[in-house]
Amino acid sequence: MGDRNRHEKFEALYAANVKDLLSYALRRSVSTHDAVETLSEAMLVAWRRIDDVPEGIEARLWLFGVMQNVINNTRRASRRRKRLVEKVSSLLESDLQDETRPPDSRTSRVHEALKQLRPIEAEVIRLSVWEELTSSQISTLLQIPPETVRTHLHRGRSKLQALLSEDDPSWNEVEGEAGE
Amino acid sequence: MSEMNDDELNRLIQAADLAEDFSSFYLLAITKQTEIITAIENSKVTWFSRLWANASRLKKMFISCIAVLLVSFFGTTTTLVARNLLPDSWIQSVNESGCDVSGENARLVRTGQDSLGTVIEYWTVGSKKSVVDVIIQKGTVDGASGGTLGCGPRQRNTGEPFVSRAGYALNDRIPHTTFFGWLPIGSTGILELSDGSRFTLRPDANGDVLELVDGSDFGFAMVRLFVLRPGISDPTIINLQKETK
Repeated sequence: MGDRNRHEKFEALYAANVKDLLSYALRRSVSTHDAVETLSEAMLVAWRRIDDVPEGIEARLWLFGVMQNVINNTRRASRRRKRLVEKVSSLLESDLQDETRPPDSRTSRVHEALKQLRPIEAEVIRLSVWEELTSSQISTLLQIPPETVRTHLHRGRSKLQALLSEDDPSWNEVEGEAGE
Repeated sequence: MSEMNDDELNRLIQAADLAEDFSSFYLLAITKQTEIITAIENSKVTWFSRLWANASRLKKMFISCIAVLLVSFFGTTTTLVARNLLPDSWIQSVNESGCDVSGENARLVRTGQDSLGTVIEYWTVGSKKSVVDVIIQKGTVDGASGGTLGCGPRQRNTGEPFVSRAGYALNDRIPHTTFFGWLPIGSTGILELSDGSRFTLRPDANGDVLELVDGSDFGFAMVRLFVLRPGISDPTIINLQKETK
């Protein structure tokens, strides 16, 4: 593939997936800077391996896999990567105001409940609900059989339902909203 | 206690998605697309990569030989100076790692050199509860230097085999990987990645492992480690797949 084609493919890849990738990183990072670092490293891998990136919808799953490996890897600090992260951070974070809402009690309760699940169950639920992946896609991403994904999903959701239903004073409020 | 159906549970989880709060972040990522893409692409395109990409096979061999000679000279000197003491910046990083170990006590367990002459140093420092491993890449032919630091309750303390990975890319656009860890003395390790590739890991007299591989990317996860011990026909198989965070 020529340099121009590589550039065009990378540009299209970025435009189609950057929001999903940033969301994925934000959901698994302790700060926006960590998320930017994860995004930068994953996009660097994508650029380096642009010839290997699958076409269409498969590209998103491939990129999630790269991000998962980047997050699972130990902290890296090569100077070149640091320079890239600093550059991307300066572009993304300079004008950014902290617009995060303080987590309300219901949000905190869901996050606390997710922490009480087995890590694999919580991750499968996050991938299913937040990343909107199918069981088959989660199976590919996590490299576990689809039946195992479904089992984790079922068990995780059951535990979550039980945890969130336990004498939660705010739950009646949610029921009211759901009925609207 | 109230009952909750699937739709209600989904709504509750979706409402707890804090990533939805970053609309300005997403907007910036789109509006600054050109600059960000340029930064990513430029981080890989330098005079050395152009030289390397355009060089003939013979020229590449020549450049590599010169690089190995240069780094052998300077790298050996640097390694001797640093043999008993981790560089200050890394001592600070170790101390700040939250693993409750002191960087001053780090010891250099192995060194290696990759195909382009990068000197790789494997340092480790541990307490009863946790171990910090530091992999430093230094004296590369394109002048870059950096490293990796990771910590956790490693099996080094219990004599159990383990392997970790650190990756880096030089301006040759080739991903380079360092596999490091510990294996029982006298054993051989076979590491399997998710793309099906396998690498042989050979521990030194202390059991420390440092294998440098060109072309093995972060895109592939470490799947299994087979540990072959002399006189034992069945290998010990260690599943390396994490259950994700």
